[in-house]
Amino acid sequence: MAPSTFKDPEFLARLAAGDRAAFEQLFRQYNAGMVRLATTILKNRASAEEVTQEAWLSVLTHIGQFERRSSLAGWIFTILVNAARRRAVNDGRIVQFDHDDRIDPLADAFDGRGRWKHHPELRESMTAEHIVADRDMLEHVEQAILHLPPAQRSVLILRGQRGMESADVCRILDITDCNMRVLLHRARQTLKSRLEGVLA
Amino acid sequence: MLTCKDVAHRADALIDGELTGWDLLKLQMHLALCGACRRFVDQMRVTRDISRTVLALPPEDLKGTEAGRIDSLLSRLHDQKQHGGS
Repeated sequence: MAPSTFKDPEFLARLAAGDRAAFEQLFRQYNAGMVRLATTILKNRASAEEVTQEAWLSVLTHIGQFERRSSLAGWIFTILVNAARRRAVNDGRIVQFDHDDRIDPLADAFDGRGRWKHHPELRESMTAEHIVADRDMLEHVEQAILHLPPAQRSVLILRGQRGMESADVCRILDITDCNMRVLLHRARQTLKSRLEGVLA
Repeated sequence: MLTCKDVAHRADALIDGELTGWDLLKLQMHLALCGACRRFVDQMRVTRDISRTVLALPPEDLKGTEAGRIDSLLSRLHDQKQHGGS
């Protein structure tokens, strides 16, 4: 089932009725992203898994209240992030997504007239298929994502979720559209540079 | 006319399909004339696809545990309903 049909009333009714197959589709679609995002917020894998389980229980309990004003992905991740924020506060930590003091990876890429100092090159080996087929490359990408600043990583995770709209991402992380775009841009730039370094 | 720097900073919006109208047209006009920016946009598209693909995979230690986790959640939900919780 394509994620767009997750908003289908029939699918939502199956979910509300406790249909295991419907829940499994949803779980397999979003659980990995939820655990990754909760880990980013809580910086603790065990706590992240607990919070993700609690979020899923809340989703199943309250699915009848989902009003389809946002995407289902947006609704689910809102529940997750709220739960993770509460846990972080209980742990005595403040969670903010709008702080990113890293410099723009492209800051030095252009001359005074806005032209490339060095022309970009596209490597043939830099494809999703090639990376996923290579266990070591996969690990490199995982590590590169793991080393992104939390705000950048959170935006990258959320923007990677099928069915997630950019307005949902801003609302979930409580950041402006402009801020979200800067974070996404920096995350992808950093990732691209790391990939180029590994493939060189 | 946009500069290469302008294009680089709008590349995410372009590959995510979020540019429309005059903004999209200006960028397409620059790309038609600039091979360096076309390659940059292609790099960004590939990076986006790779990050999406990797992030969609379960973390290594969660692989193969999904069925058990789903059963556990549905069992907890069932218990919750039995005991009148919310």
